[in-house]
Amino acid sequence: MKLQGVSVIFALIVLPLILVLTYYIHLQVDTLQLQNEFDKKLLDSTYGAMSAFEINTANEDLSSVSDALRTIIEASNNVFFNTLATNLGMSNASKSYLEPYIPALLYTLYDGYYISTPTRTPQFLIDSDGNAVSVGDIGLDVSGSNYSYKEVHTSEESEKNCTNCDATHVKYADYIAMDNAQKSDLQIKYDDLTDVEKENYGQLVYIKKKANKDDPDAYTTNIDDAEYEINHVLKTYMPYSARYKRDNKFDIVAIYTLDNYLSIEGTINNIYYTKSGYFIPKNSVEIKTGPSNLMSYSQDDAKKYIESGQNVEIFIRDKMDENSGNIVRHSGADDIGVKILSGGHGSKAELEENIRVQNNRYSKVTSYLAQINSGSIVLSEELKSQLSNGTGVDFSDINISNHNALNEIYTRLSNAELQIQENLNNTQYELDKLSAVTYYVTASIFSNWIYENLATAGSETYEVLEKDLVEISGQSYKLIKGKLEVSHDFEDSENPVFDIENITNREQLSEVEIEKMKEKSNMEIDVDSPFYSHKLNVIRDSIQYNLNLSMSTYNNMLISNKDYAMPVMENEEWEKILNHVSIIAFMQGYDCGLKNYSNYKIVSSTNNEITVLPREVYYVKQSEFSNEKSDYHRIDCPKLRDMDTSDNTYLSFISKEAKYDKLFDKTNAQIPYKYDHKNLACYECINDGNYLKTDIFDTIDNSNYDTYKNLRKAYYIGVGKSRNNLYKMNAITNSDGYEIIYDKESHVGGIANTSSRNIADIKAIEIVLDTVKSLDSQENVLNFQIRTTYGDELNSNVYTIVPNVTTNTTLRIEVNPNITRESKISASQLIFNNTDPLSAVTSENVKNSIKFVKVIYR
Amino acid sequence: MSDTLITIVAILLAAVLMFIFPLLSVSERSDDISQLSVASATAEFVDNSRATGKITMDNYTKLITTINATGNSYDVEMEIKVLDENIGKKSAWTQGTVIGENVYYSVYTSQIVEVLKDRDGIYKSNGVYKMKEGDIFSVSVKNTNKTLSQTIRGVFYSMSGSDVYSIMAQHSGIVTANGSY
Repeated sequence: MKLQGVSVIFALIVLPLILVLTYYIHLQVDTLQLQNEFDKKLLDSTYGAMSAFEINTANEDLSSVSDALRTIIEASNNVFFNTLATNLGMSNASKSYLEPYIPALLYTLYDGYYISTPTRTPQFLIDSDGNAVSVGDIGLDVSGSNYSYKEVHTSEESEKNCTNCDATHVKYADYIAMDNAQKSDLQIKYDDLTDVEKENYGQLVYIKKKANKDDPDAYTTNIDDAEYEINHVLKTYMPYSARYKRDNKFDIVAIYTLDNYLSIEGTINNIYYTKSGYFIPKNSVEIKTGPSNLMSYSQDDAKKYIESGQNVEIFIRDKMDENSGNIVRHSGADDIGVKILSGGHGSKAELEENIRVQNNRYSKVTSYLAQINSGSIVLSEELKSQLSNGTGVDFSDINISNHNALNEIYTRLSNAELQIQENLNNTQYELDKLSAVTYYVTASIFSNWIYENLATAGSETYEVLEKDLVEISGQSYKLIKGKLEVSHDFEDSENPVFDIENITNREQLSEVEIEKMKEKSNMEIDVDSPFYSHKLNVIRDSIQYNLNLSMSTYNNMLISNKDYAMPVMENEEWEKILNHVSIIAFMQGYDCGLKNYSNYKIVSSTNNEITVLPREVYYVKQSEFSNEKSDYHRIDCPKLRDMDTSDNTYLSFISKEAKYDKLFDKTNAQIPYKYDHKNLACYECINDGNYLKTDIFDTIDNSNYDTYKNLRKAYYIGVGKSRNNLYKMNAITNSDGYEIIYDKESHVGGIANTSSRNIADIKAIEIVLDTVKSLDSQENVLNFQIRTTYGDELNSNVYTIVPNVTTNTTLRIEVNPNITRESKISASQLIFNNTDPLSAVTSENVKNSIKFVKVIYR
Repeated sequence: MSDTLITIVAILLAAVLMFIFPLLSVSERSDDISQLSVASATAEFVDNSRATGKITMDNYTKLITTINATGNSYDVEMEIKVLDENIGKKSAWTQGTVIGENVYYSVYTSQIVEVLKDRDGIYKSNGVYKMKEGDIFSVSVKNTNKTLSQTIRGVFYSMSGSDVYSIMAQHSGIVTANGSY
């Protein structure tokens, strides 16, 4: 063959190869580009869902109540699908088209999480008004276990709603024309049913599998025969909870949250406790002014005491000493730490009322200022006195007949405005301190209870270890472990659960860890403490298990036989999820060039009303709060540091308040939103965020430590009050524990049976009395004061009992929180002191009629 | 005479078809593959940064290493449009639906890299540049050297203008969270 021939053949072979290769590589490039586009769209849609969530929580006062939260999440879910559809170039009504591609949407919230996922649900029989039909409803007929249905329009509206009204339906006009007997025939009567049919009376009616609605047996009450369909539903709320159990010693359930708040419910040594509160380091808060035993009050009593406006000064011991390589809490001199004094300016209710009054006054003054600007004002004598009242600015000599007077009014009104703002700021500061002190004192009481009962081993107390864990979010841990590759195995772990006192050497920490420490105080739980890592592992296992479950349900409904498995998330991503309210969106199976798209995106929230992130609390000088000329800052901003002087005080608010305006008047079309923080965002720390941080918690360097006392105080007040004012879903109204020491009817204990704990720990004693007999028939009321045989007056109340009645009387005897007696008590040790010296009823008579004694502990 | 001419033309044609065209084509595919990896690295970098609210030195270095591994040199341009929170909020509103009053100011590559590199200086950034929710982050990557395919194409025809590059990737989006450590 000639050379020309060879070269032609070469070209003929190479050219098509190159062309095919080009095409293939282009396809690959397109696929990748498409995938990047989808990534972006998924992230943006998730962000849209988060924005909807944030805005809705900001505008809903009860946003942290689970029912309100559910609607908010459903709305956010819709926003996600709408945004995704729009982003993918579809109509935003394409939700049902996209649903099969979304295996799950996970919402991790403050104390639990929601999963929105496809679920098989039975199909109910639903009438044209949208109501589910149950046995006994009008139009439903039964024969044995077969049900048939003929819709009856009992109202005109119902007929209008009916979209496929056919001949089988009973029309409204026909229904009206019927006599009572005919009407009653449309409905099945309980008495007419056979025994088998009676069992199902009132049950919901399902559509049978593959049934035609005209069939005489189209419906059933047996859920196993029902037709199922697959819907994206928001599954029930799952708390971050764990159950710990050791023989018959303790059996408790702890509900964790994203921060240091937790609830504990369960039995420890036969005493049933329900407790909730913030968990803070041991001995970090002391009482300097106020009852010396305030810490041994119950949380509620302490809260009441502080909120009544009494002087309470707390001392936060946040100084760390570097001893033997480890950082330990300083227990030395009194001046090391931060003092916060609350009270002396009225009770919480009074302060709140004061703020309300001042706010009204303020809006009045601003509206008059606006009227002056527009040139129309009528200043009545009544108004003059109103304006003078509380502002200290005198208006009495003003006469508005001449033009100069307007200027004068303007000046004085402006002064009044300033004065009111100052009053408001002062009152707000007092209120903040009240809330902060309540936070630290109740948190200490709660934490002390944990340290005493669950973190130290003793005869009546236990140290809860990781191996005691039996359930996570209601699911047996053994089962979870069998199905999941757990990140940390609790089963044989001797690690304590409630241990946060593991402050390590700063030198051992990495740079990033030190930066993390700078952002929070020594009062927060350390990220490397056993408690923190335990909590994270529990939450992680719980989420992973339930997500896996959802994914497997999703797999069952997949038509293609490709299996979808939950992607493995990185540690850094978990860290993010477990510290913030987040939305995680999974997407799978969408056609994407040469392959199917599969990825997930996480968006975390930093501005919402259901958590407090210490880093997102902003501070303003008290005197400059709500002043348009000054800035608000982060606590570690150099600008805040530079303008700090020796006696500065600060007001604070959470980022959400600056980010979203609260809807304050829905009816006002002009100004429905109110921006209540006029301060500007600092360009260094809020708008930009890249600045040299002031380490105000650097407690090792003495000179720094003293310099930043004001700022630390501002931080403690800011974080404390924000947390205290947060509405918590899992909060227990009365944090206490109870023990039944005597129950005559159930043969539990006896009248001489003593409580397992001392009187000092008792909050109240509940006694149920049978008939108290009085021989004097004229005596129709008995009055008693109650004390113990130890001589303690339990309280100053007088209890009234009606004698000779057959009904039971329940007495709740509150125990004075100041009693510190270290002795146990039984019902027989109570003395019922009759206030009527002439009465024949003695203490023994009353005691003989005791039939039930319950001791309520703090 | 005419035979010789045809032979010369045939040799030239054969040379183009047998050597230059395959070479051009292969080098273009090589650019496509570079494009593939640059585009995905850029998208990953941007999406990661805007999901976490922070640009880290680690991620930035990873991006640079990945794109440089294609054998070309690149110009990476970053821009953050920082949302000014003070505008649009403070004026007295006459309507409840004020939209589009946001104002942004921009921060560019050199400023961002300065903070990233500044571990012990005035920022002590620890290699983290923080953004906040609402900022807009965009990155564009272009090759600065002449790739082989560009050189070969240059033999036949030349394109003028400053925007001549064969590998280019761009990705941007809104930052979804306030950055912190």
